[in-house]
Amino acid sequence: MTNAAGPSSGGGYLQISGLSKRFKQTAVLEDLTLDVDKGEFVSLLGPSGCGKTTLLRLVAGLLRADRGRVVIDGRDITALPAHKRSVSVVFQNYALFPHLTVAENVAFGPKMQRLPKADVVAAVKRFLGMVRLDQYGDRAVTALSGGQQQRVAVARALATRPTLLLLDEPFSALDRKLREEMEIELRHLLRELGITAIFVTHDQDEALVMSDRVAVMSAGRIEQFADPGTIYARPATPFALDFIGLATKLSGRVIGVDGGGVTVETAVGPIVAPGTCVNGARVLVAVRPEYVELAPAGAPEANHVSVVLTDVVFLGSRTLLHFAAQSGDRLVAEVGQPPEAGLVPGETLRLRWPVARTLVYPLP
Amino acid sequence: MTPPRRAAAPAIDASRAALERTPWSRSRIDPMPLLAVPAALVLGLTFGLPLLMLLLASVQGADGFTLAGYVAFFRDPFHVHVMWNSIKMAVMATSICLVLAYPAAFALARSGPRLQLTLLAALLLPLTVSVIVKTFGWTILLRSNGVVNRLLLASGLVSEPVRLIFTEAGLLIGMVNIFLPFMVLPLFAAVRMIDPRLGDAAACLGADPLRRFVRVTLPLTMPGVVAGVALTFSLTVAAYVTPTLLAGEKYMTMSMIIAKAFLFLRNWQLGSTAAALLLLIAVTVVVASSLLARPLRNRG
Repeated sequence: MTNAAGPSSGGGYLQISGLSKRFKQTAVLEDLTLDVDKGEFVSLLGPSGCGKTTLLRLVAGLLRADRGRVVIDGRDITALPAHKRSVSVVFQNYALFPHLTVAENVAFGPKMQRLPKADVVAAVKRFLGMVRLDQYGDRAVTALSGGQQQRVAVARALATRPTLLLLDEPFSALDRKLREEMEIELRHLLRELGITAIFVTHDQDEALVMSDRVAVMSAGRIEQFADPGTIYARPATPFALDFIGLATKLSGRVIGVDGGGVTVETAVGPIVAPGTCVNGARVLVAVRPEYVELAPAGAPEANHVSVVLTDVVFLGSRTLLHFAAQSGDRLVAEVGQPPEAGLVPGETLRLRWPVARTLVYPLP
Repeated sequence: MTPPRRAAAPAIDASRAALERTPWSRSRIDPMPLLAVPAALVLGLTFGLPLLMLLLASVQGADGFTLAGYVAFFRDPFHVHVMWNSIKMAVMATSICLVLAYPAAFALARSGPRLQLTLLAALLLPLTVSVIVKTFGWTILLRSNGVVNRLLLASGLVSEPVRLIFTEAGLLIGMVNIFLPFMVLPLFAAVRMIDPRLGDAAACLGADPLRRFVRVTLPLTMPGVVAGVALTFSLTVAAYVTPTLLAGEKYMTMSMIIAKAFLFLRNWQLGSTAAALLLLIAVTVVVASSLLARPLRNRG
């Protein structure tokens, strides 16, 4: 486990190590390593085609890995077929059995485990109750709404008492309001049961809301594996920065290194950031919009830039201000309240942000 | 809500209902089914009426209603034997078609678009060739100095030509060849409707491959099996050209009795009785297969 991504490595409940998968000539996963603790809710976040669903299918046993190992609770399951893994999956389209009723769908797993009839009935009752569908047992699954079908899929997956629950974009077919409700409901349910879960999504909000830790994936690799707060505040790579939230990004060259900070010459002026870079290196500096503020008039200090306001975007609880610098660079700031009157597009303003909140990434 | 408003509500409802009723309420006839009237008339006059006359002829005696035709039919051991031949041949041909078509339907449904097109063309193009041409093809292949026998001799499996033409085995080969597409197509349609992820879901819930098939795949393909069996059975049990050319007098079937009764014996009662029985057999199988499939389809 030499290539562990993230702070924790080794000794996890779920250990994925050196996992690789190619389809024909394309490497979909490249030597991927991930450790998940017991009871943890981990999101695999990335754009489509980044390999997150492939990783999920490899863990479920629906695909065979070219190299690497998957270990759950000390048991190496790499060579086991899906039906011997006791890993449950909630599929994107739910994949409910259309020829069975709601109760029969939930009973499918317990029946396959050859539980006594009374236990099967008890499991169905318990898990349908958990997703608040006790009254729907006799219905055809095709007669349910999208949200109800999703809950049946969750109940069916949990009824097998899995060692690990995998969720493949289970909310993507639901409308926004219902999705937010379901996210919180599912999170509660899994915490209550102490189920370890891996959740695949391309939706950054979903990942940040639900997860204990988020693995940001790109091109078959994990870019960063950390808790949502760290992922947002300290993105490890320009990709992670780009994929989650908004940021102002400026490219430049290091012109001064002192102590724990660097000075970067950019098209909008010198920017100071904490970090260690080689003098003369090409870098990207960035800052999240909530740290950018309008600067009062006065002598220019570190990280002050002069820009033109281009757009004011009102988002209810907050307002985004978009700016353009003379160099063509785009900047974005967030203010809590609608800005005071007088802020009109075309106006030239001064912005500033704290040195401590400036991110810096080496460019290739 | 205040009392005066509540009083006004029924009046509003009534007027709204009157408005909604306006367009078709005068005729009170839904116009859509009327579109089927021309086709229904043609079918009724050219098919329904003659069929009814045929069925009536089978129970028409010199002095009114009689079952004498049926009694006579079943008293003749030859006729009973022929009916048995027809049923046996149809059951065998349908069973073999089902066994061959079931995996083929999956291959067809799960293959990539280009391969699927090729396979579909291979399945459908033979349907454009007339049954007579295909059957004559089989007579050439199956005769004692035909291709099949020459291959068997060359491979050393047999030391002298096997008699295939004018035998039950030869007829079965021809029937399966000609009617196989009618089994594959309904099955293909059913398999294509199945979400391939259901198999993954069943696997993740702990079902081994056998139980995935029995609990998920089989019940979901049952509508296709029923349609294919009903279609293939009714076609094979009533086939006329193929049995006539491939088996002839050596292996009589119901359709041959019917043709013989009408064309040579001029025995309308025998012909219509045999026709009615053939229809009864086909309808029974179609109804029974869908009834038998119902519990399997809903199995948990």
